[in-house]
Amino acid sequence: MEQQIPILAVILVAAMVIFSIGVTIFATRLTRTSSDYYIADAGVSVFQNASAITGNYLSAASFLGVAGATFIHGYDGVLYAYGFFIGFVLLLTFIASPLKKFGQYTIPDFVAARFHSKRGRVVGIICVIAISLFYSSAQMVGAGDVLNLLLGIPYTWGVIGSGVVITLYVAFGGMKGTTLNQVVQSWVLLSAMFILAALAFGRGAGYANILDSLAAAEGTFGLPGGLEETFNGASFTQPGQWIGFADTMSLLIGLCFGTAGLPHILARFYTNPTGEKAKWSVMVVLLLIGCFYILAPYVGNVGRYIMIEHGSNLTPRMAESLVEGGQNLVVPIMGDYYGGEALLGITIAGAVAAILATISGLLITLTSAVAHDLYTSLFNPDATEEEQVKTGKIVTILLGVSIIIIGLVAEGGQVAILVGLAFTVAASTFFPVLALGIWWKKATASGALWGMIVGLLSSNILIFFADAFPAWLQYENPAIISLPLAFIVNIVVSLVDGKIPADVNEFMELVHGPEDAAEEA
Amino acid sequence: MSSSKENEALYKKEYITADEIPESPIVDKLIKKQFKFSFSVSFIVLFITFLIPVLNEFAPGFMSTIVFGFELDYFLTAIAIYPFIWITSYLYIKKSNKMEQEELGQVLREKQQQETVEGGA
Repeated sequence: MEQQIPILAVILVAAMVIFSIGVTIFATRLTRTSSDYYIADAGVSVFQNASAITGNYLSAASFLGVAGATFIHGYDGVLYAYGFFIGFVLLLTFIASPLKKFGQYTIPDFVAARFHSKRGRVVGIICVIAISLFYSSAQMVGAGDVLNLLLGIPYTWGVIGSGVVITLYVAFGGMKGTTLNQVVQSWVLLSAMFILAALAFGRGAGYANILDSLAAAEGTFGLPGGLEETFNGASFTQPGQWIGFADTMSLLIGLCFGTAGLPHILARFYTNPTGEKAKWSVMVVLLLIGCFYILAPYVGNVGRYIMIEHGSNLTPRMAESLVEGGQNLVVPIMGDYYGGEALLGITIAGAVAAILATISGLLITLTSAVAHDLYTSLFNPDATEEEQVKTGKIVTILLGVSIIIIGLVAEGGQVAILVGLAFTVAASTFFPVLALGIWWKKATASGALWGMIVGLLSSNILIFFADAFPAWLQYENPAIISLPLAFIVNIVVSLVDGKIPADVNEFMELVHGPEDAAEEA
Repeated sequence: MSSSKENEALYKKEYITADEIPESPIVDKLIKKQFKFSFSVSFIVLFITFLIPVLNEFAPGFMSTIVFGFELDYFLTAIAIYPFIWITSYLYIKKSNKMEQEELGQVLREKQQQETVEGGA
């Protein structure tokens, strides 16, 4: 396919990068203490935090991938949007507010402080690194692919360029700079999706009507440029054509419980000033990502509808892009179709914003795990504030280089498998330890430790060595096995161990009691 | 953020058994009340979430019913679940914040009573 670089997209992406650098310079002046660096001094407003969480959560896999999965697989693609969305309810009901009230910096901090366990902190750090590296490698592969497909930048330079920009603004801007950048990036990507969907809807692509047309279509359809597309509308609009029933259930378990265990999302709740505001942040996030996840599958269906019913209106380049790369390109191609170069540019800027926001969130989480949890908390607890911030910056740069290298090595890797693994590991490690730690008085350090270890190992083994197991234990996303296993191990070991931290009542009062009680008394 | 002394306190190994957990009626009541509420809301949401693929598998005829121009499976998964979760979450937050305010009042009243008893003694 002849590569045509959309100039407006290049200008918009360049403007976003320049803006990020400006924000970073501004934020550097505001970042003096380690609390500023890691949790923005717990002073982020509900709207800012919700926007930043939205940017953090909606990666390129969501921005391009959900519409793409719907474009290719129909109904089964919609299930991804559904699962990604519902996980936030578990975060809201069980975790967000107590986590904030406990007032730590990171998830390993929570494990260490709840159970008074160094080993628990270390295993927590390993889990954070495992989840974030899997997630980052998928995002870097996505960054390289997207920049290559959309802007014609060679994969290697796409990975290096995006890695360098993100590393610099996280290193020098800390959580304050990252938050401000994520707020802007989330609105860029949301606006791009809203504008595209509004234009499609305004020009007569009613949701129910296009599904009706698609359900009735069957056969081989001619496209400009001498291309052809074979399509069966009946199976496209029905469930179970791509993912079987058991895998659907396991996928939904992984996505729902994994969302509530992702460290880069959980870390953002520490930046809220109070537990009540943490809950309202989730509400605003649900509104923003909910609108997004209604629209993204709609855009995927619109792409398929245009291809099948109005294929003659496509240019040969659009038709070729949809046939060969629809799973990644349906959003920008629909942007081009409905809004010309301007909307093509906006959708590409949206995709780049999604990549920048997510990788920066992952990078600051990784930095917290290594610089704060490992170095400051375990090896050098007497480090001064200045030393801690300096260490944070150095570690960010080293981790940024690592992420770039992983992105280069993982070229051609399957993004969906890596993201799925990250969700499964998060569901099987942090969700049980947080849920039991927050709600169950009899939870012990050994239970938490072994629960995390078993969750980490079982999820990895069931994914990487699936063939070694009988068919009934083979899942694309094995959370249906690894999550209950981690819960059972955590509970059984806790009961057998019986060594409950002596301050368990104080902890429970802190995370479940009213926030103002101490002050007002 | 952290220091050697804080670390010593943090990793101090002081354990009790389940039988030795001090009785704390206020805390126990709080946890029970909050857990019951959080669990009920989550259970309803998860039940509906997982019911949809179950019905897709075992009652495809019912899920093909047309609702607002959509087949029911598509309508529920792609559209209706979102406002349902928004409304449920909004009501959850309002109620849980109200519960917290009531708890605050109760805790303050009980502390005041305790102080009065101690002062009197």
